[in-house]
Amino acid sequence: MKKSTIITQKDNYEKTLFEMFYDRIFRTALYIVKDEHLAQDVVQETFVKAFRKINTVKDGDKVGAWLGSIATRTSIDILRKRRNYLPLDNVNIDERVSNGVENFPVENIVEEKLLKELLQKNIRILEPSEYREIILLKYEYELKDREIAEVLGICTNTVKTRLRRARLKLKTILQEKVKEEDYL
Amino acid sequence: MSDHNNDHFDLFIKEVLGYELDNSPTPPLSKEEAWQRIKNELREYKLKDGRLNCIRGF
Repeated sequence: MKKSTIITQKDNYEKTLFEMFYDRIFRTALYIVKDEHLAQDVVQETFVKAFRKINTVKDGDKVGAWLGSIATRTSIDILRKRRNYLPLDNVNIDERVSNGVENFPVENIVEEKLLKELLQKNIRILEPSEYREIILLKYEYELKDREIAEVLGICTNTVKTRLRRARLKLKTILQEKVKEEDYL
Repeated sequence: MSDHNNDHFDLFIKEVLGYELDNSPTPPLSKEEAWQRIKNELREYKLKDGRLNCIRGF
Protein backbone atom coordinates (compact mmCIF):
# COMPACT_ATOMS: atom_id res chain seq x y z
CA MET A 1 0.00 0.00 0.00
CA LYS A 2 1.29 3.46 -0.91
CA LYS A 3 2.38 5.73 1.97
CA SER A 4 -0.05 8.44 0.79
CA THR A 5 -2.93 5.93 0.94
CA ILE A 6 -2.02 5.00 4.52
CA ILE A 7 -1.86 8.67 5.51
CA THR A 8 -5.26 9.36 3.94
CA GLN A 9 -6.79 6.39 5.77
CA LYS A 10 -5.30 7.59 9.06
CA ASP A 11 -6.65 11.12 8.45
CA ASN A 12 -10.09 9.74 7.69
CA TYR A 13 -10.03 7.61 10.83
CA GLU A 14 -9.03 10.61 12.93
CA LYS A 15 -11.72 12.78 11.40
CA THR A 16 -14.37 10.11 11.97
CA LEU A 17 -13.36 9.78 15.61
CA PHE A 18 -13.40 13.55 15.99
CA GLU A 19 -16.88 13.86 14.49
CA MET A 20 -18.20 11.04 16.66
CA PHE A 21 -16.92 12.46 19.92
CA TYR A 22 -16.63 16.21 19.41
CA ASP A 23 -19.83 17.15 21.27
CA ARG A 24 -19.34 14.63 24.04
CA ILE A 25 -15.77 15.73 24.71
CA PHE A 26 -16.83 19.37 24.71
CA ARG A 27 -19.56 18.67 27.27
CA THR A 28 -17.16 16.65 29.39
CA ALA A 29 -14.69 19.53 29.41
CA LEU A 30 -17.39 22.12 30.03
CA TYR A 31 -18.63 20.18 33.05
CA ILE A 32 -15.21 20.57 34.65
CA VAL A 33 -13.89 23.95 33.45
CA LYS A 34 -17.24 25.80 33.45
CA ASP A 35 -16.26 28.08 30.58
CA GLU A 36 -17.22 27.47 26.96
CA HIS A 37 -14.06 28.94 25.43
CA LEU A 38 -11.82 27.11 27.85
CA ALA A 39 -13.74 23.92 27.10
CA GLN A 40 -13.11 24.52 23.39
CA ASP A 41 -9.36 24.72 24.12
CA VAL A 42 -9.62 21.46 26.08
CA VAL A 43 -11.30 19.79 23.11
CA GLN A 44 -8.47 20.81 20.80
CA GLU A 45 -5.77 19.71 23.24
CA THR A 46 -7.57 16.43 23.91
CA PHE A 47 -7.79 15.40 20.26
CA VAL A 48 -4.23 16.49 19.51
CA LYS A 49 -2.93 14.44 22.45
CA ALA A 50 -5.13 11.51 21.47
CA PHE A 51 -4.09 11.45 17.81
CA ARG A 52 -0.42 11.65 18.75
CA LYS A 53 -0.74 8.41 20.71
CA ILE A 54 -3.65 6.74 18.98
CA ASN A 55 -1.55 3.61 18.39
CA THR A 56 -1.50 2.96 22.16
CA VAL A 57 -5.24 2.23 22.23
CA LYS A 58 -5.66 -1.49 22.86
CA ASP A 59 -9.42 -1.80 23.04
CA GLY A 60 -11.30 -0.03 20.24
CA ASP A 61 -14.59 -0.33 22.13
CA LYS A 62 -13.20 1.88 24.86
CA VAL A 63 -11.94 4.69 22.68
CA GLY A 64 -14.75 6.98 23.92
CA ALA A 65 -13.79 6.39 27.54
CA TRP A 66 -10.15 6.86 26.63
CA LEU A 67 -10.88 10.23 24.99
CA GLY A 68 -13.06 11.19 27.95
CA SER A 69 -10.28 10.42 30.38
CA ILE A 70 -7.83 12.56 28.38
CA ALA A 71 -10.39 15.38 28.34
CA THR A 72 -10.98 15.27 32.10
CA ARG A 73 -7.24 15.20 32.81
CA THR A 74 -6.60 18.04 30.37
CA SER A 75 -9.42 20.06 31.93
CA ILE A 76 -7.92 19.73 35.38
CA ASP A 77 -4.46 20.63 34.06
CA ILE A 78 -5.81 23.73 32.31
CA LEU A 79 -7.63 24.81 35.47
CA ARG A 80 -4.42 24.40 37.44
CA LYS A 81 -2.49 26.53 34.96
CA ARG A 82 -5.13 29.25 34.84
CA ARG A 83 -5.74 29.64 38.55
CA ASN A 84 -3.52 29.56 41.55
CA TYR A 85 -4.88 26.12 41.92
CA LEU A 86 -4.58 24.26 45.18
CA PRO A 87 -4.00 20.56 44.61
CA LEU A 88 -6.69 18.33 46.01
CA ASP A 89 -4.43 16.77 48.60
CA ASN A 90 -3.95 20.18 50.19
CA VAL A 91 -7.61 21.02 50.31
CA ASN A 92 -9.16 20.35 53.66
CA ILE A 93 -12.64 20.45 52.29
CA ASP A 94 -13.36 16.95 53.49
CA GLU A 95 -12.68 17.97 57.06
CA ARG A 96 -15.72 20.18 56.82
CA VAL A 97 -17.88 17.25 55.92
CA SER A 98 -19.69 15.83 58.88
CA ASN A 99 -18.65 12.30 59.76
CA GLY A 100 -22.14 11.26 60.59
CA VAL A 101 -23.69 12.15 57.27
CA GLU A 102 -23.04 8.77 55.70
CA ASN A 103 -25.62 7.32 58.01
CA PHE A 104 -28.17 9.91 56.96
CA PRO A 105 -30.40 8.33 54.33
CA VAL A 106 -31.31 11.43 52.34
CA GLU A 107 -33.03 9.39 49.69
CA ASN A 108 -35.38 7.97 52.28
CA ILE A 109 -36.49 11.39 53.46
CA VAL A 110 -37.26 13.32 50.30
CA GLU A 111 -39.10 12.11 47.28
CA GLU A 112 -37.02 10.90 44.37
CA LYS A 113 -38.13 13.72 42.13
CA LEU A 114 -37.12 16.37 44.62
CA LEU A 115 -33.79 14.70 45.21
CA LYS A 116 -33.08 14.59 41.48
CA GLU A 117 -33.87 18.27 41.09
CA LEU A 118 -31.60 19.19 43.95
CA LEU A 119 -28.88 16.88 42.74
CA GLN A 120 -29.14 18.38 39.26
CA LYS A 121 -28.63 21.87 40.62
CA ASN A 122 -25.63 20.85 42.68
CA ILE A 123 -23.78 18.26 40.63
CA ARG A 124 -22.67 20.97 38.20
CA ILE A 125 -21.09 23.05 40.95
CA LEU A 126 -19.44 20.24 42.86
CA GLU A 127 -16.06 21.39 44.13
CA PRO A 128 -13.14 20.80 43.99
CA SER A 129 -13.00 20.01 40.29
CA GLU A 130 -11.20 16.71 41.03
CA TYR A 131 -14.50 15.49 42.42
CA ARG A 132 -16.27 16.35 39.16
CA GLU A 133 -13.46 14.62 37.27
CA ILE A 134 -13.82 11.38 39.21
CA ILE A 135 -17.63 11.46 39.09
CA LEU A 136 -17.46 11.84 35.31
CA LEU A 137 -15.05 8.96 34.81
CA LYS A 138 -17.07 6.71 37.08
CA TYR A 139 -20.64 7.49 36.10
CA GLU A 140 -20.48 8.88 32.58
CA TYR A 141 -17.60 6.86 31.17
CA GLU A 142 -18.24 3.88 33.43
CA LEU A 143 -14.59 3.18 34.10
CA LYS A 144 -13.64 0.76 36.84
CA ASP A 145 -11.76 2.09 39.86
CA ARG A 146 -8.59 0.41 38.60
CA GLU A 147 -8.98 2.03 35.18
CA ILE A 148 -9.58 5.46 36.72
CA ALA A 149 -6.43 4.97 38.79
CA GLU A 150 -4.43 4.20 35.64
CA VAL A 151 -5.79 7.22 33.80
CA LEU A 152 -5.16 9.64 36.63
CA GLY A 153 -1.86 8.11 37.72
CA ILE A 154 -3.03 7.54 41.27
CA CYS A 155 -3.57 4.38 43.29
CA THR A 156 -6.89 2.54 43.38
CA ASN A 157 -7.38 3.30 47.06
CA THR A 158 -7.12 7.02 46.34
CA VAL A 159 -9.78 6.63 43.65
CA LYS A 160 -12.07 4.88 46.14
CA THR A 161 -11.43 7.59 48.74
CA ARG A 162 -12.14 10.43 46.30
CA LEU A 163 -15.29 8.75 45.08
CA ARG A 164 -16.50 8.21 48.60
CA ARG A 165 -15.77 11.84 49.47
CA ALA A 166 -17.42 13.14 46.30
CA ARG A 167 -20.57 11.13 47.05
CA LEU A 168 -20.47 12.27 50.64
CA LYS A 169 -20.05 15.88 49.58
CA LEU A 170 -23.06 15.65 47.29
CA LYS A 171 -25.09 14.07 50.03
CA THR A 172 -24.04 16.73 52.49
CA ILE A 173 -24.97 19.51 50.08
CA LEU A 174 -28.34 17.90 49.45
CA GLN A 175 -28.93 17.43 53.12
CA GLU A 176 -28.18 21.10 53.80
CA LYS A 177 -30.36 22.29 50.92
CA VAL A 178 -33.23 20.13 52.07
CA LYS A 179 -32.98 21.65 55.51
CA GLU A 180 -32.58 25.21 54.17
CA GLU A 181 -35.60 24.93 51.97
CA ASP A 182 -37.57 23.45 54.82
CA TYR A 183 -38.46 20.26 53.03
CA LEU A 184 -38.16 18.26 56.22
CA MET B 1 -24.12 3.63 54.64
CA SER B 2 -25.62 0.39 53.37
CA ASP B 3 -24.76 -0.97 49.91
CA HIS B 4 -28.40 -0.55 48.96
CA ASN B 5 -28.36 3.17 49.77
CA ASN B 6 -25.06 3.56 47.91
CA ASP B 7 -26.43 1.79 44.81
CA HIS B 8 -29.54 3.95 44.91
CA PHE B 9 -27.55 7.14 45.21
CA ASP B 10 -25.17 5.99 42.44
CA LEU B 11 -28.13 5.56 40.11
CA PHE B 12 -29.31 9.06 40.93
CA ILE B 13 -25.89 10.51 40.19
CA LYS B 14 -25.61 8.61 36.90
CA GLU B 15 -29.03 9.70 35.75
CA VAL B 16 -28.63 13.33 36.75
CA LEU B 17 -25.12 13.62 35.32
CA GLY B 18 -26.27 12.15 32.01
CA TYR B 19 -29.11 14.66 31.85
CA GLU B 20 -26.77 17.50 32.76
CA LEU B 21 -24.31 16.61 29.99
CA ASP B 22 -27.03 16.01 27.39
CA ASN B 23 -28.42 19.47 28.07
CA SER B 24 -25.13 21.37 28.04
CA PRO B 25 -24.60 24.20 25.54
CA THR B 26 -23.11 23.34 22.16
CA PRO B 27 -19.46 24.21 21.39
CA PRO B 28 -18.72 27.78 20.19
CA LEU B 29 -16.85 26.46 17.12
CA SER B 30 -18.43 24.43 14.37
CA LYS B 31 -17.07 20.92 13.83
CA GLU B 32 -15.28 22.02 10.68
CA GLU B 33 -13.59 25.02 12.37
CA ALA B 34 -12.54 22.92 15.34
CA TRP B 35 -11.26 20.15 13.05
CA GLN B 36 -9.15 22.62 11.02
CA ARG B 37 -7.50 23.92 14.20
CA ILE B 38 -6.69 20.39 15.33
CA LYS B 39 -5.30 19.47 11.93
CA ASN B 40 -3.10 22.59 11.94
CA GLU B 41 -1.73 21.80 15.38
CA LEU B 42 -1.07 18.18 14.43
CA ARG B 43 0.75 19.36 11.31
CA GLU B 44 3.03 21.55 13.45
CA TYR B 45 3.81 18.59 15.71
CA LYS B 46 4.57 16.39 12.71
CA LEU B 47 7.02 19.01 11.40
CA LYS B 48 8.69 19.29 14.81
CA ASP B 49 8.90 15.50 15.19
CA GLY B 50 10.35 15.25 11.68
CA ARG B 51 13.05 17.80 12.48
CA LEU B 52 13.89 16.05 15.74
CA ASN B 53 14.18 12.71 13.97
CA CYS B 54 16.59 14.27 11.46
CA ILE B 55 18.73 15.65 14.29
CA ARG B 56 18.75 12.25 16.03
CA GLY B 57 19.90 10.70 12.77
CA PHE B 58 16.89 8.59 11.99
